[in-house]
Amino acid sequence: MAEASSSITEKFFLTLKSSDGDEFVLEESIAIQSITIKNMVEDGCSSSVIPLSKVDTETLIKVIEYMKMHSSTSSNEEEIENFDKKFVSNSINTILNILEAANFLDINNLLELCAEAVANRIKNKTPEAVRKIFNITSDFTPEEEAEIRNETPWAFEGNLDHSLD
Amino acid sequence: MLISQTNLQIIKEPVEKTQGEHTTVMKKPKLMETIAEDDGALDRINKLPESLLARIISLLPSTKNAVRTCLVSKRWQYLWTSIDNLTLLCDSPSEAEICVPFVDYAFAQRISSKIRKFYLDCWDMLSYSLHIDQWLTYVINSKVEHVVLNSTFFKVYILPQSFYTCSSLVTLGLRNCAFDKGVVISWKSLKTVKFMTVELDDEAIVKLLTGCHSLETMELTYFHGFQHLEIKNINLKTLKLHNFWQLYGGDHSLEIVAPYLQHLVISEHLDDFKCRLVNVSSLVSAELTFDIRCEIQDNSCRDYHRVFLDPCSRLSSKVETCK
Repeated sequence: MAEASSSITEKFFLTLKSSDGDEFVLEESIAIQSITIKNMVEDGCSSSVIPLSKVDTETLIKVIEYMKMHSSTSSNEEEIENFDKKFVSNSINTILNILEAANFLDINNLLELCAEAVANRIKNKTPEAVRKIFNITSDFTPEEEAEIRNETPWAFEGNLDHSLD
Repeated sequence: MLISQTNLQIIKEPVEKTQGEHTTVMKKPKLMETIAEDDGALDRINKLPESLLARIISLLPSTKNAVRTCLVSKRWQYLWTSIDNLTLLCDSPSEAEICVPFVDYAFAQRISSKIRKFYLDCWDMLSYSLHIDQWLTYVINSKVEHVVLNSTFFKVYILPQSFYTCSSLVTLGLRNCAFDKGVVISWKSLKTVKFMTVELDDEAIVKLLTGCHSLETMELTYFHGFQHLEIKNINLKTLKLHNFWQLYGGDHSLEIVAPYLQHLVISEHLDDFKCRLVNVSSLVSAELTFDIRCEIQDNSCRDYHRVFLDPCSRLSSKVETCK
């Protein structure tokens, strides 16, 4: 608590290092939206550079953009909403990278936002369309596939979306 | 079903002619070739841990949708058994007929110990009460936090005994359901209730309010059955009442005593309902947009309604919206 109150009067900065070796200086109050980073700060590991070996530069830039926008002081609700809408329109691969980074950094809101964005891409789709969106090859034999459809016919009924949009 | 099969054939034999909406599928090269186009994407989804994949399919609009992903690949086959959000839509008799046995099967297959959300939309919950009672017992044991039971058909489903003491429950939505007489309610984590056409007599209201100390918001739509609403819960700051259910006989009046209440909403049609605000001394905002049927012909009408409006107008400086 003492640390939190002192950061109001005096700004502390952290240096985050991506897996590509690029360093980013960020205000501590913004960076601690990541519980992983917050725990490191509380354990006194923040005096030097914080290495984020699982996050590449491109992804870290996106994560920092997100944290800056969502830090409590600088943005209003409408701005955040518009930012999130634009944010999830990134390519599916970028979203998956950010999703995994958010999981590692323990930023729950960002994780939820990305998981929902991916879910929205595949909702109501046929299994075939889901495979194409993620470029997955089916490793079922036609017989196995027919058997699964027979086991759970309920799941494959109704109006399904074949498109890849 | 037919469409899925047609599509399946197209994938296996891309040379086969098809027409209309399937043209885009036809244009796609064979699957092995699409991988060559962008193998980064393939690596990407395969690298994702299963816990994250399960989290993604937990957010699909329904459990049916999540189950359907079992056919994507062998890695995906059993992912749905670990989702923490069950959204079951059995909203027509034919759908319920196939959905109910499947849900029984699905519960038997589940491997995740945690169920965060259980949403059931069922056209007639009473007819399937034996199944639903069991499902509820299962989700209670899985420490469920959010439960919505939406029975569309107008036959009341009575909540099973095990449900009244579910300590993990945070939000509860009910439609066309009722409490069993004589039960003790203890929902110690419950913060939000949203009830529609749920019969609550004075005794049930008291039980609900005394059994839910954490309650913050209460929203009742087509409310009926109680005449006295005394809210002593200091956490309960928001009360919303929409539509009085006038089909119901008995006394059409309500007295509200809620000294800690901060936000009050009363809206829609109240018919000949008479509401009296006895103590709402902490009120910060009131949104009163209801219409009412008044049979008083002479000038006493104004005095009669003042009983209701005065407690709000006295606070006019604090009241944000008061129509």
